[in-house]
Amino acid sequence: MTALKHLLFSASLVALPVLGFGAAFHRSVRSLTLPARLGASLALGCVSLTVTAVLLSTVGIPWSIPALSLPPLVTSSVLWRAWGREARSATRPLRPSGSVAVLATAAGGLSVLHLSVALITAAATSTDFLLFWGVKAVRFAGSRGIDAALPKWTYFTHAVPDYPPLVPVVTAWSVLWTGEFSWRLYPVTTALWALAAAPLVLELLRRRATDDQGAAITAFWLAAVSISLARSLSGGSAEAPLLFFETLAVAALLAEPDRESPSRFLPALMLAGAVLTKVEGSVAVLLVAAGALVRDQEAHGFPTAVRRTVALVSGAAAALATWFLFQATHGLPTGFRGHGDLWSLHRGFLPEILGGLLRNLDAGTLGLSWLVPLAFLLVSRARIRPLLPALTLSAGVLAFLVFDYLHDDRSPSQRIRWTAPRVSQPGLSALILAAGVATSRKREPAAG
Amino acid sequence: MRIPAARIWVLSAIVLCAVAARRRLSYGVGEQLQLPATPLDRTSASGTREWAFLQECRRRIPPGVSLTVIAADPDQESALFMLALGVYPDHSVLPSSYFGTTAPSGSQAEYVLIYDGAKRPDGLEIVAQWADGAVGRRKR
Repeated sequence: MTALKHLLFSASLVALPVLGFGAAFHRSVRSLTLPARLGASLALGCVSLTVTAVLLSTVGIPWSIPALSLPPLVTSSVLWRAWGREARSATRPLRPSGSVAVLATAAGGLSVLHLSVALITAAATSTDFLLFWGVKAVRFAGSRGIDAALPKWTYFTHAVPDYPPLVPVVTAWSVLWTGEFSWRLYPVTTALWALAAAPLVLELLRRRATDDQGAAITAFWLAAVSISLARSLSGGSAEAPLLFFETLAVAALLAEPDRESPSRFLPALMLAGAVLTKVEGSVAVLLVAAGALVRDQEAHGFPTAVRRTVALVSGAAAALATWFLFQATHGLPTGFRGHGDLWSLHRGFLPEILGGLLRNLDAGTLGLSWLVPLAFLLVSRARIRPLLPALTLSAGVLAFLVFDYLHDDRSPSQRIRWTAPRVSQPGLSALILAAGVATSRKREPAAG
Repeated sequence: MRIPAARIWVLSAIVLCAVAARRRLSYGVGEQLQLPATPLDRTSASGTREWAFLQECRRRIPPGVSLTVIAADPDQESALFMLALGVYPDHSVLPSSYFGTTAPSGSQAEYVLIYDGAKRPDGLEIVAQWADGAVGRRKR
C-alpha cells in the first residue's frame, strides 16, 4: 500500500463515526465526554452503513461511497435536528485520585500496546479473517454489493454464508476507499474497537461508581479484553466488534437508575449492532433482554418491564429483518443454520466439554481475568437482581457454548480449543461489568 | 461489605498486564518486533508457507483469469483454495477439491498453481517454477 492508500484507509475508519454523528446528540449520550460520544457515533455509523449496504444489495443498486454514505448521513442529520436543540447538561469532569489515575492509565495503555504489537506483528491474526471475513469483504467490494451467487456457491460453505453482514460490510467500506485490501494492516483495527468502547464504558460506569472506581474498573476491563483478544487470535475477525456492541449494551443497562425509566436508545442501538455482527449476537440479545425483563419487573411492574424490553430489542429485530429480507429476496435460506438437530445431544462428552471449557478460559492471564471479578462478586454480597442484564449474558454465553459443543458426535476438544477462548469473551466482559457495579458505592445514579 | 474496590481493581489490572507481558517476553523482544511477511507468520508455520506461495504466484498470473490450486495433501489443497479466494479477489478461483472431495470445476481453470510436491496434471505449460511450487497454464 502506498502512503496515499494508508491515508485513505485511515479516512475510511474516521468516516464511520461521522456517518453516525447523530447518536452523539441523544439525551442519554450528549452530556458524556467527546470520546464517549464518538463511541456511540461509531456504533450508529456501523449499523446504519450495514443496513444501507444490505438494502442497496436487496434492490440491486451498486455500492459506492456516496450511495453508502447518503442514507446514514441523512439519518444522522435528522437525529441531530431533532435532538440537538434540547438543553445539554454540562459534562461532569473526571477526577480520579492521583495514584488510581496513574495506575489505570498505565494498565490501559500497556494492555492496548500489548494487543497492538500482537496485531502488527501477526501474532494475533484470526484464521476466520483469512478464510471468510476478509474474503467476503474483498469479494463484496469487488462486486459492489453482496453478490448472492457467492453465498449460494457449493464451494463457499466454509465461509458460513448465513452469518450476518456487519463485519464484511464495514471492511468492504475501507476497500472501496483504498481500492485494495491490506491483509496485514486490517487486523490492527481490532484494537480500535476496544479503544473506542473504553471511554463509553467509563462514562456509563461513572453513573454507578465514583470516579476512582469507574477508572479502575474500566482499566481492568480494557486490560482483560485487550489481552484476551490477542491471546484468542481475534485479529481481523468479528470478535472485537461483537465485544464492543455487547459490552456497551450491558454497560448502558447496568447504568440505568433503579426507579426511573430512561431511554433505551443506547442499549437498543448496541444490540442492533450485535445481531448484525455474529449469530452469537442474537443469542446475546435474548439473554440480555431476559435479564433486563426480570430485573425491571421488580421496580416497574410486569407490563412496564415488557414494554421496555420490547423497546430494547426493537432495533435488533429491525436490523435482523433487513438481513433476512435480503436472504429471502435472493433465494438464500432465510435465517441462521443450526448446528445439527437442536436436541440431538451427545451427553457422554459433558465431562470433556466442562473440563475443556475451564482449561480454555485462560484469557491470556492464567484465568485471573475471570477469577478477579468472580471473587469481587462473591465478596461484595451484592443483590443479584440489579446485575441480571450482565449476569444472564455471562452465564448464558458459557451455557450456550456447552450446549453447542454437546452437538458434536466426535470429541469436541479441538473445537473447544479453537473457539472457546474467543467466543467466551462477551461473557468475560459482562462479568467484569457486573462485578464492577457490585463493588461500587454510588448506588443510585442520576438519570441518563 | 466495604472493600477498597478501586485500588484492588486497578492493581489487578496491573497484574493482568504483568502476566501478559511475562508470556510475551518469554519469546524474545527482537524476534517479536520484526514486521511479518504474511498475516500468519506467528500463528501457523504451514499457513505462512501457503500464504507466501499464493502471493508469489500472484506476480505471475494476469488479472481476471481463472485459476485453481493443487497440493499433495487434500487438507492443504482445501486450505489453499479458501485462502486463494481472498488473495485473488479479481480472479475466478475454482477448487480442485473441497474438504477432500474432488471438484470437477478445477479442471476448467486456465492457470494451475502447483504447491510443493503436488503431481502435475498433463497438458500444462509451466510458466514459472521455484522451491515452493510452480505455476502452469493449460494448453488450449
